[in-house]
Amino acid sequence: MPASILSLARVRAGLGMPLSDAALEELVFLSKAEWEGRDGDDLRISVTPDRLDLLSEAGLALHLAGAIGIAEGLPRPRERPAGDSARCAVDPSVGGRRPAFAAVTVEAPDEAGLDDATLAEAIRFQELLHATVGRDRRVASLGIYPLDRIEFPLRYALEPIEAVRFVPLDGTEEIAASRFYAEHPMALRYGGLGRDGGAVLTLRDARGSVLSLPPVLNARGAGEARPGDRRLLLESTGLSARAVREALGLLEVVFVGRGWSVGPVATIGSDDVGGAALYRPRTVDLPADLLGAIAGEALPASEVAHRLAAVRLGGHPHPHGWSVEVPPWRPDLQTAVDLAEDVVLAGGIRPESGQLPPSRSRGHRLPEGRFRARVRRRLLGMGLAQPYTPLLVGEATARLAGAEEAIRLQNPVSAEFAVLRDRLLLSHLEVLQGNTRHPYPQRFGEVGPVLRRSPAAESGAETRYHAALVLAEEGAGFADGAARAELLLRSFDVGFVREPTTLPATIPGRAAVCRVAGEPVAEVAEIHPEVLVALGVPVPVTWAELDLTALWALGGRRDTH
Amino acid sequence: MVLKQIANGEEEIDEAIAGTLERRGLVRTEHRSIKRWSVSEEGKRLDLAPGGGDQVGALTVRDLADGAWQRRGFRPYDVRAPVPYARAPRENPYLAWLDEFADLLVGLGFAETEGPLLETEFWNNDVLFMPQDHPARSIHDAFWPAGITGRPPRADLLGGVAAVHEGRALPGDPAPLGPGWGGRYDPALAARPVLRSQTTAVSARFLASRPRPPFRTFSLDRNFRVESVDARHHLEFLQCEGIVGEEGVTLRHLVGVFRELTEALGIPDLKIRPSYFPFTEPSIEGYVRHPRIGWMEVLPGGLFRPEVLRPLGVEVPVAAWGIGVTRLAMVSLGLDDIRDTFDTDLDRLTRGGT
Repeated sequence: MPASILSLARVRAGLGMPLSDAALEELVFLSKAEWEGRDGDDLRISVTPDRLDLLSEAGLALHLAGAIGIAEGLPRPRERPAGDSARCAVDPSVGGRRPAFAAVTVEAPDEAGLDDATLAEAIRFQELLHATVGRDRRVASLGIYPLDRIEFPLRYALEPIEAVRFVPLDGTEEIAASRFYAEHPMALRYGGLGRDGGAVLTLRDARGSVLSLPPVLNARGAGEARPGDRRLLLESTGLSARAVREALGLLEVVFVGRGWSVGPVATIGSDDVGGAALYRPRTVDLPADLLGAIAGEALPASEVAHRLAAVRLGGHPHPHGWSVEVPPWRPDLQTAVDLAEDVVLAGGIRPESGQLPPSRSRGHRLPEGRFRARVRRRLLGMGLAQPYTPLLVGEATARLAGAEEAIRLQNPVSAEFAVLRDRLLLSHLEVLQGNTRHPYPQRFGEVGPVLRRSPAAESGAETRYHAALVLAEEGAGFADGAARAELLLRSFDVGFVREPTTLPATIPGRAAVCRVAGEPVAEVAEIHPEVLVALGVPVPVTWAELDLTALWALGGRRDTH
Repeated sequence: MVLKQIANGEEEIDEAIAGTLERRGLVRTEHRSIKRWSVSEEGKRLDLAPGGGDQVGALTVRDLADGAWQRRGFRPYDVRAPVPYARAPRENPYLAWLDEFADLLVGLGFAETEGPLLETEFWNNDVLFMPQDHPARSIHDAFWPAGITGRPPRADLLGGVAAVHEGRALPGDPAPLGPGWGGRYDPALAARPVLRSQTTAVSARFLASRPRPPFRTFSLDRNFRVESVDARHHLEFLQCEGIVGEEGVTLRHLVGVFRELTEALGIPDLKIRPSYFPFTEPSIEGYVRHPRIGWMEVLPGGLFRPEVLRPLGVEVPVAAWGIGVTRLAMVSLGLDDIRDTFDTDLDRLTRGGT
């Protein structure tokens, strides 16, 4: 889950009332955030992916204030347009590289302007949004700029790299963009997102000053918000209009939550990413019948109004439900069911309010599963221990077993779990290897899934269930395994024949396949001494493996005992 | 001198000089031990009456046939003496627990279902309204098989799922269900094979079969996610997925199922909080209190979104949950290490006890 470290003092300041840690922790538990721990003023917190707004001190304080009833309803920032010239021309050249652009302005509620803590919160939250909504800046990125050092209109374009010079945010002297892209650590990491051959993305103001090289780094001066700044420009660029809109809306909560006003920046030359919804609430309809169907009760209108206010939403009733106002920092609220969730959960979910579903139904185990369970019990009854093994086995084991056909993983986390077994034998060789310190005889069996390549299957491989038994002891031979395999086969009431075959990792001339109506259903063999020596197993081993999926289709359905 | 004494077999030898000669390889030491048996105090307590040597020891077929045991009587054994360490297999405790858990669900009216372990992205993610660029679908979270290819599902399913992802109306609908995830839905990605990461895929396949409501199903099966294996994490784990579909099912019924399950498991404390899953809305999570570990999240669930149900042709509300049964089993079985659920220790599995 997305996580961050917040200043507990700033969260409390946002609430405007003292609350104990325990009370805060309980309130957080009832939200979509998780109190992970506290170290001094540092509050470690994580959230579900749909409530990133709670990862800012301002957003969390807004929510908690509603939950404890000290504030309610939608925070409505004042609108203070930055002027008719507040616009940005989006050059068609960006279309092939990073086409989406959106921006708003924000203005501090007092002369003091931006303070250190709010600037730090905004930058931290900006980086968090880069990592989450922005998919590491690939889909969307954000910039914060001092509006008083910028002159509208802006221009977002792809320019020849040799035409661009600027002072990087962390630099002291103007350098060529080519040098920046070649040397700067941020450019080395994100440069591929902002460069297209010999051209780079730029955001400039009306004077031609470079504000930033999106999505890599801002410029010093025009791209550097500082404490004391009263007016800021917030912008986002990206691949997806939706991601740009979400990222920008979420960043706004840092400022709106502290009383800043907002204003529009018109976009010229590209699709409208969000229009007024970038800085004004949008309306989503919540039908009353849908709300009742999800809640399991018809909530009185006054209760719905109270709950909407508690979750910091606005709205008014209409004959069939509610028109709900949703702020830009709640991109999770897109449809009626999203709203219904907020309203229902705002009332709290008490276990004692639960009811069993209205109708009665008869439960049952899967018939094929019951069949497999019976085979498992039979293996136990034959005196075989019951290991439970992973489907994934080691590459070394698969090689030793000659499992050329077994499917390999593209991205294994380790060589120990790299191959999807196509026989239980692969796992059982690992069981033998892991038990060499224990006394012999060792006799064990298992029922479990294997994966076999199958062009007919939708995913290219078929899940089949096998039963296997292994006898490791002095004197264990082919006949011991075959006798037990045939005991199982007889219990399925199928006629079978045993024929010689060749199997990897087994002794030539001591391997057989059992067939029912010509279809292979079981394999029996003595494991080759080379394999045993490699595993460190000091005794002979015989093995038998039955294809329960095949047997079920052939006659296992008749096996009811 | 000493060497000569040794050669003559004399017994009074200077041991220091003999040791020096031995180190030089000139003499050899032989050690002999003498065993003498005598009756111990314990032995003296046994009946050593005259004639005891004729008593029956191990009862034989011949003894039974000729009735000699009637004349000779039986020599008593020391029944406290050690005996050989017997071994026998017992039911794997984890598998036995899983069976009991499944039986509990059957008792609540749930029918078992299952699905393939290797899925396509369509069933594992797309049909569950997981955006195709969701971070959890990256190579860091799911396992992808090498060298095999999948194929997309039937066209009507693919078309419906593509529509809700792109925010288009379903065929016959006047308006989209929602704005979708933006961007273009990629059918090629839908066909990519992926090792199943959630049993919700099994429920989706069941719903696609157009079951007649009311229905309640569960699936208790393996899933796979990219994890480093340690005491708390395993890349292969069990999940128990369940759904309840019928007209009138609400969030209260899901909570009712949670309460019923926890009570049946003997877990008295349950609390519920909001959660998030792309495929359910509302989404909740049930926490239970373990006496040692404290509150643990074990019961995630919610009501399937219309974006999940409508493309599958399901017209009734469906409550769904996916329990991390491995975690529940660890608590129930007293295991501290998740790796112990994959028990392959044949000594432990045959020596008896818990």
